[in-house]
Amino acid sequence: MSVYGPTDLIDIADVHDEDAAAEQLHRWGWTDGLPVVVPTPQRVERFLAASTRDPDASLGPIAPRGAELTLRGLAANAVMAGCLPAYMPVLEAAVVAMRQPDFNLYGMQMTTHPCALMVVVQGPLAGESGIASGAGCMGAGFRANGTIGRAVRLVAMNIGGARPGEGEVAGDIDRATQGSPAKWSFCFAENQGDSPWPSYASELTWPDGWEPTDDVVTVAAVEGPHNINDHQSSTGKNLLKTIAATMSTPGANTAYRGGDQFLALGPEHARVLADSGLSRRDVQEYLFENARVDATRVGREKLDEASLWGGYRLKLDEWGHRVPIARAPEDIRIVVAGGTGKHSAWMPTFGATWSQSVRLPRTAGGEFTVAPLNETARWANDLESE
Amino acid sequence: MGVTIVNPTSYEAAPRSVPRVTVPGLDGLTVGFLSNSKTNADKVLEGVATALVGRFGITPRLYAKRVPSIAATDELLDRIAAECDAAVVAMLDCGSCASWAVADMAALAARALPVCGMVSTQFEGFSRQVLAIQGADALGLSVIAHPIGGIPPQEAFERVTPAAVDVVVSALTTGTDKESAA
Repeated sequence: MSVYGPTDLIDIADVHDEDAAAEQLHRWGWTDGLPVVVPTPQRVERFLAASTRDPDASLGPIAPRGAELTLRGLAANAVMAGCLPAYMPVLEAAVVAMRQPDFNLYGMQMTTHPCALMVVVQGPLAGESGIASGAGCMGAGFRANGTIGRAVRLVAMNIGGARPGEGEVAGDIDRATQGSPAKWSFCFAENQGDSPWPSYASELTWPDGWEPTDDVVTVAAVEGPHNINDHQSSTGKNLLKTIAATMSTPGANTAYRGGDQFLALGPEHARVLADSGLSRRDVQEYLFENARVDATRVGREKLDEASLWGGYRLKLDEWGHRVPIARAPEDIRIVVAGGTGKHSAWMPTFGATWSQSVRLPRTAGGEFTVAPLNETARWANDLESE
Repeated sequence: MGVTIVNPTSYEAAPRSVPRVTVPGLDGLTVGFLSNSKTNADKVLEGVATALVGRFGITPRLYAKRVPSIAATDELLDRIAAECDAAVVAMLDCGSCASWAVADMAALAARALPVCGMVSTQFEGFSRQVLAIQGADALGLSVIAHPIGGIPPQEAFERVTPAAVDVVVSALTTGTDKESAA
């Protein structure tokens, strides 16, 4: 057993069994409301043994509270979520992703927006861990999907210190107006086997290249999935019309043109597009040009603010009052996920955030590698003094 | 017997590291007004600026960051600190915008600038918690009625009552020891 520090262990002295201990965890506000597995040292030890790093490793501070996350703390939350020890490397990578400054965990944890922590896993480890990528992969029914996403949320709440509420009770600083079911858990794997295109991860600009054996975890602050139903279109052109129209909504934060959003194409939809000769980039470019918000249908007050934040007040005429939902085509991220059926899903971004993709160490003891962001993330956004 | 668990939380609290900076009085000073571009933030700041011009003859300077849900740049904060004697930040009336406005306040205070935030009633408790996280709970907040977005601009201007301006003045000129004594 590893050596524990003075605050690593808690003796819940007035309980006699794990059922009572679990109830105490609920009373202390350390759960997401669902039943939890009690993180006994024996259970946590098994998770630490499956991790890529030393049990004493610090994973860095977690916003907004800024408290340090230790590997033990991560393991304890993974136990509570019902994870298996084998999921630990995925969770470690997810934490690395969430901690990148441009992810803006500080803001996304406290916003009134309902953004969730979406975790997308790619590479051999996804299959080995049982992370579903096929039918129903964004919904209930899969232990790895459900518990990995849940563990990430528990870390955000228990270490990051943001629980939902109105800000009047200590720690209730997740100010989501309504939240989202996706804030319980939102994790799935890319369905590379049924994708007509190279994997999402392979097209990121890794400084040292991409290899088919790479395992990559992407975390994004996005809304839960919006369905895109098109059972009829037989050509890419027709299908893209449906997708673009669905994404042309003024209520999503994409109207501010910040951050990157995700389109998860069902394999049948992806096949229709590919059979029409369209690459992933072709689809991104089409959607960038055609998934536009009709500014003439947006109220003046809303448009004033959105165009100010998005920096396009002076562009509306030039754009014909059709507002792009991203800064550039590459900010419309595309993965393939799901099973049989003519449905896809769109996950609009929180906006003031950039998704982060993290590659797991290629060799034992190696480092986690963060993929470079799109250039658009560096665009200036400050007004001049007036 | 009890049940021993591995702690899934952290009790660490941020050290109080950002003290309140004050000036003896506002007469003739240059005061910066930093808008986070939330709807009507400029009107609230205009309300404060109008009152401070009338009371103290200050010179107001307006600044803005375009996206409220991220930090103001160091360049902008440095500029405000260089050009102003004190600063007022608005509008703290939603989650991500208030949290980053609080961070901006702490960053200005760390640049030795007296600073006060304009917060709506529904976000006061939240903003005080976030100030504490920033180690900046000594900084002042002036509270005005929620909501500020979705109301006519003139109404936002008028929500800056004389009492709210008094709080701004106190936050910029009175140390926390004297303020609590008062």
